[in-house]
Amino acid sequence: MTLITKARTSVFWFVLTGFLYGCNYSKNKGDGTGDIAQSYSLSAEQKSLLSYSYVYQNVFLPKCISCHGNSGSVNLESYENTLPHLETMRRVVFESKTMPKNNSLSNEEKAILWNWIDLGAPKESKAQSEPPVLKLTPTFDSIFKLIFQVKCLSCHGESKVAKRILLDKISLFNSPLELVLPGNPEESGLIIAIEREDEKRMPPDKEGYSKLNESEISAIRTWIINGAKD
Amino acid sequence: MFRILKNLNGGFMKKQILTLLMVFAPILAFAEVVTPAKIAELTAHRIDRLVSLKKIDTSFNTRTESIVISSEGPAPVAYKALVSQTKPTEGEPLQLEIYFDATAKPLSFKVLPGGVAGIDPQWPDKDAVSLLEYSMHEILENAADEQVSPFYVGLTSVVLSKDTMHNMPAAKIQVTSSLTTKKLNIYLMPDGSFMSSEVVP
Repeated sequence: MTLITKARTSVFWFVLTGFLYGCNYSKNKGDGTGDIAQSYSLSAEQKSLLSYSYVYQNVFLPKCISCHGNSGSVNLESYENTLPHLETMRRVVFESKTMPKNNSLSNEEKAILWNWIDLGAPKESKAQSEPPVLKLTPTFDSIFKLIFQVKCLSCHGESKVAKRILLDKISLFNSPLELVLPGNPEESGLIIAIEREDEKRMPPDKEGYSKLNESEISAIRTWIINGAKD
Repeated sequence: MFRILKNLNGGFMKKQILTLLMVFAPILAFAEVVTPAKIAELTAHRIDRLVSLKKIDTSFNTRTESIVISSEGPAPVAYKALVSQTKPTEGEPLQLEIYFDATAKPLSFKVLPGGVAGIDPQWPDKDAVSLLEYSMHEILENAADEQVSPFYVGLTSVVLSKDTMHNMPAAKIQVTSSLTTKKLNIYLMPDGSFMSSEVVP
């Protein structure tokens, strides 16, 4: 084979390879949404439940609010604050997969979020009656479930970085740090920690965690004022 | 426990019990038994709490230089922590005593008269009490280490000063113990993260 023939052959195979790869790439990449929609399909009945409060309870609260609460730059604490960030949310959760930071959404949670955005992020659900929304009350169980588990236990859990201060009832009452003084919120370490404005505030601002909102602080205060009994 | 040790007349018995305590230091640490190191950590916490409650001057957060722990006082007092600020330009340093019971619960405190707030060392990131607290975490979390256990069990004093390591600013916390003539130096970065430690003669 002459040199020119060899060169032509090489160019031919190069172009063919590039062509085939490009087709394959397009097929695999696509615009992505079809594949994702298939991955996170929900039944019509499940879709009818989707509302902001449903997504908040099932996705935002357990997985996002600790950083994206009322004092974060991307605030998911209200419907109005969430709306401007839908496209960003779609991109960082489903495309670049950079959020949540440890990609901790379950498939179910992803399905809820994807379908809610896909439906235009409805504020209210189409269901006749929505599933009950957990409301924060000044009781330990409610505070533990809706505040501590969501915003504190990632650090203040067993074998976590701040394991010296645990937030179960026994630890709170028995701590030599006087975290909870029944009837005396002003001198309770827990209230001091969540209300202070300096860099020692909990959750820590420096780590990107949102300050507890007024209703959360109020619930804890009221619980302590009432004697921290239940 | 430490009252009993103090009252023992026999040096042999005291040594045996202290040796046992050092051997069981890991278990004690796991069970969060109260030792002087724990009291020193809680003292640092307590200083910040008293400042937050506006019961003592804010200068204690930034200018505390040393904590001395002793097991003395009438019951229910089991431990006394003497907190001293840095030296002022004139006069004596401002000092504070904090009293704890045997379960490490803070009982009371007293600002000693005649002291003056010290020179501000101007820690650039974490304040002085935070640095002292973090240094105690290093002892509490490494109580099982045979070089650290004498300081976990028998800590008598903690002194904070400025130093450098590898040409970087560092906080040096020197710890003494009743169980050894050696000293434990803990070096922290200004943000409180651990750099290094050493036991020196």
